[in-house]
Amino acid sequence: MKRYLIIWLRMTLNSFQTILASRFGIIIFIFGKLLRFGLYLTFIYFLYTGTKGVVGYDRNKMLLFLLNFSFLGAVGQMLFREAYRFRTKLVSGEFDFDLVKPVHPLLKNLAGGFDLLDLLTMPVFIYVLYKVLSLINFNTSQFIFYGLLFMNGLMIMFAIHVSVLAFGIITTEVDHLVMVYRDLETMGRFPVDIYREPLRQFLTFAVPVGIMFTFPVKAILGLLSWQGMLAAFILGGLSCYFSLRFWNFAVMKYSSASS
Amino acid sequence: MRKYLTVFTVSWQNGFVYRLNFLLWRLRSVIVIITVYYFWDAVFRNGGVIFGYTRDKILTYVFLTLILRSLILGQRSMDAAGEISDGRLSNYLLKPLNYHFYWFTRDLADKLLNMAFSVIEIILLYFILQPPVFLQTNIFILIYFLLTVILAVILNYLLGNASSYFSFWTPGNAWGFWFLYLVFQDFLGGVAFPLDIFPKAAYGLIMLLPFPYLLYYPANIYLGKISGADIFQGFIIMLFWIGIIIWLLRQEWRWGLKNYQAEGR
Amino acid sequence: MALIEVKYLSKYYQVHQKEPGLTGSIRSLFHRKYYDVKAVDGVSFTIDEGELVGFIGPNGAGKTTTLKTLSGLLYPTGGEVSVLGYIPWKRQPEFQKQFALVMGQKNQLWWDLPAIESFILNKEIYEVPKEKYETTLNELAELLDVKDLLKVQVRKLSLGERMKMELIAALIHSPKVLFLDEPTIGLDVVAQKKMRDFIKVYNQKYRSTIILTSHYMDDVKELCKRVIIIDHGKVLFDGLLEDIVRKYADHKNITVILDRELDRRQIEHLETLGGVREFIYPKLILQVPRENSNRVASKLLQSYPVADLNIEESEIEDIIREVFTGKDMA
Repeated sequence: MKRYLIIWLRMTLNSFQTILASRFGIIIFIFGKLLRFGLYLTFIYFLYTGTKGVVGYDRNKMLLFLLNFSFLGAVGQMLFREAYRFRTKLVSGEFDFDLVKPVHPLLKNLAGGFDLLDLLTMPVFIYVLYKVLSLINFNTSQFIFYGLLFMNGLMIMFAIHVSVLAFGIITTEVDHLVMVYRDLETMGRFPVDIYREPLRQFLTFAVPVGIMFTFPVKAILGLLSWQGMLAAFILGGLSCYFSLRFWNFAVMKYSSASS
Repeated sequence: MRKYLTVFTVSWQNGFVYRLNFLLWRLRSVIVIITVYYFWDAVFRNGGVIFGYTRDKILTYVFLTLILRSLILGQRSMDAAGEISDGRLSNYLLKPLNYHFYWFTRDLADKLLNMAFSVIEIILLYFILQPPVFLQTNIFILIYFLLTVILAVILNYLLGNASSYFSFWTPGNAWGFWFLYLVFQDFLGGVAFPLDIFPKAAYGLIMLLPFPYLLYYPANIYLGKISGADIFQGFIIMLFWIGIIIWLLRQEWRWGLKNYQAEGR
Repeated sequence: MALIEVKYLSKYYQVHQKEPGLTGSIRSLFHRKYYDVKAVDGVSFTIDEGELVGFIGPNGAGKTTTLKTLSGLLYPTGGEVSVLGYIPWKRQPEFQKQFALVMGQKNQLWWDLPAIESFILNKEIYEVPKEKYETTLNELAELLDVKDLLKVQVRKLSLGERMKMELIAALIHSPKVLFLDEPTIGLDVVAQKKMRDFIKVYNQKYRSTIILTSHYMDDVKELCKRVIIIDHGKVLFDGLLEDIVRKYADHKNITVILDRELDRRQIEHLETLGGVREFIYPKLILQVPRENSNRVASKLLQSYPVADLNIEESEIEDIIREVFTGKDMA
């Protein structure tokens, strides 16, 4: 475990240096990310000058959904950035190098590209999230459940990324599966309550952006039943388990098929 | 001209080779449509008028822009950035081929392929979402609408390539410019919301930028919401930007090639 | 004791066929015809500690597949493999720490960073102690003459320099077994030579066991005493390089430097003496059966304007080519 941490820190250091090699790119990206973030905030702000509530949520609550989405999404991207490069590595055969090394190949191909740019924009997200949270009433246990469901969301994100990589091994035909996930993810930018049934149920449990993004905020607002919470944690655990199984299956298939 | 026709057909075949890939590509656009549509549906669930829009009006706008999106904004020339960054551009420079036209052709091929499929999607989505539809009957407006769509396709292509060509100076980072361009598209082009929800002053300023003419302007021409002098003014601004960006592209290309190092693996 | 043992190794791939055209594409969505490709088909050999063995064969012969199986990247369809006493495809870390794989056209270095950063990462991955790492790196950098380049971005290195860095990255944990898949591919003649010298020294100095595949016969000729020739997944020859010459070289080459141009009759008569391999005045190379070489040589000296004459064994390339074309000899 400690060894993995050391290796991961090394990779992260390398990844930082790679990004720092181009100062210009950093400025553009951070500007773009913050601009998008600011525009969304402005948009919600303006929207609520014309309406009092959207599917029962007032301005602050809607902002909280948006902020939680931006924050959790950014954490996921920051941690799992390397998944975006996986297909190139697979096609060029460089993945072979990771398979012959005495560490789990997922360490490099999932977490090996910690994204400095997301880290740099993170304080802004956290600050605004904190500001909005201070406008909302909640008790300690609600906050703890928020934290737990947030971690649960991150776990599901991990599982999805692992599955995407495994799928990539099985068929290299798809070059943007991770982007398909990203698009699905954006469906969680606002509470899944905005969607009509049966899409809402589908998005909650099947995709499951509802559990990942909507549930934590609902927990802090005291709107989530204990059954819902339980279901969320069970799904989180199961998804991790099955994604790792799927990964092993894919590597097995890779070893017995490709050339 | 012939060679660009070949580029066109090869592009098409390429699209068919990766079937699953293509299917997922289409799925992505459907996801975006559903997200935006339901968001507005939810905002207006209790009826009422917001920023001068009723539920019917906003959903008509949203559905129309979503159709136009697949026609105007779908773009492949993002790959040009990659080709410049990793040195594959050299392969083209050696051939008697105009790189700008090459990508324009590939873009067009891609658009037509996507359109063929989006017709099916739109029909499906129409039955699922059952949006209110507004049929424009004024033939002059329709002709002008068509013209603005064509100009918007060109404008989008130019803006995208102008972003890609920044790779000459920061290889590997052109995606940053693309990212920025996509953010502008979403928020100032009218994808996420109609621009007239902004306050008057901000709206006036935004309409001077090139982005509203990608989607918002053509859509509102069709809906008949822009009339009289504003039509003319919009047309002038659109042409102005097309001219400016053509000039910019040329400069980028000229100075960029001098800076190009054909670095590569 | 044998360090690497391969018994009846086989590896079949399933490949599906597609009819041309769009209808073919659609049909292949539902119904696919599969057939087996026998990439490796019953290969057996053993390699002892410290050996440097050359693997030769044309493209698609099964060399890379065999190497990949030995490094645990592929599960075999059949047969047994043991490397250092381990079964490779179990991919145990203890095994993985003792070998390295270098692939000529693939890159494991961080592209935008100096190579040294990749070395440090590998040091952690392979758990090399600090002092050991430093001495190894120093020695390797010295041997390969790249001390000044360690801190240069990999993307700025030439192909030759980068290959050297790839080698260092692979050797930083002092592997006992080294698989080199086309290490000299794409390099210029000088860089190839340097790479070869390094492999030779490394093998002698560290007593490491090396399997090398290469397209370039020069690599094999200079480095390997023993070669394994494989084609269509089968071993055609396994033994000392010099034995191939004895076994297969039934021809010799006679090289003649002529005094003056030949007339038409002399040229026509050449054909009866042997196969003309090359004829660019004043140089003439004839290929003749081994037992005829003396007779032909004296004939040439008698009736041709010869300034100089040499009888040589066939080039190894030619012999190998013969092995591939006349497989029944094996």
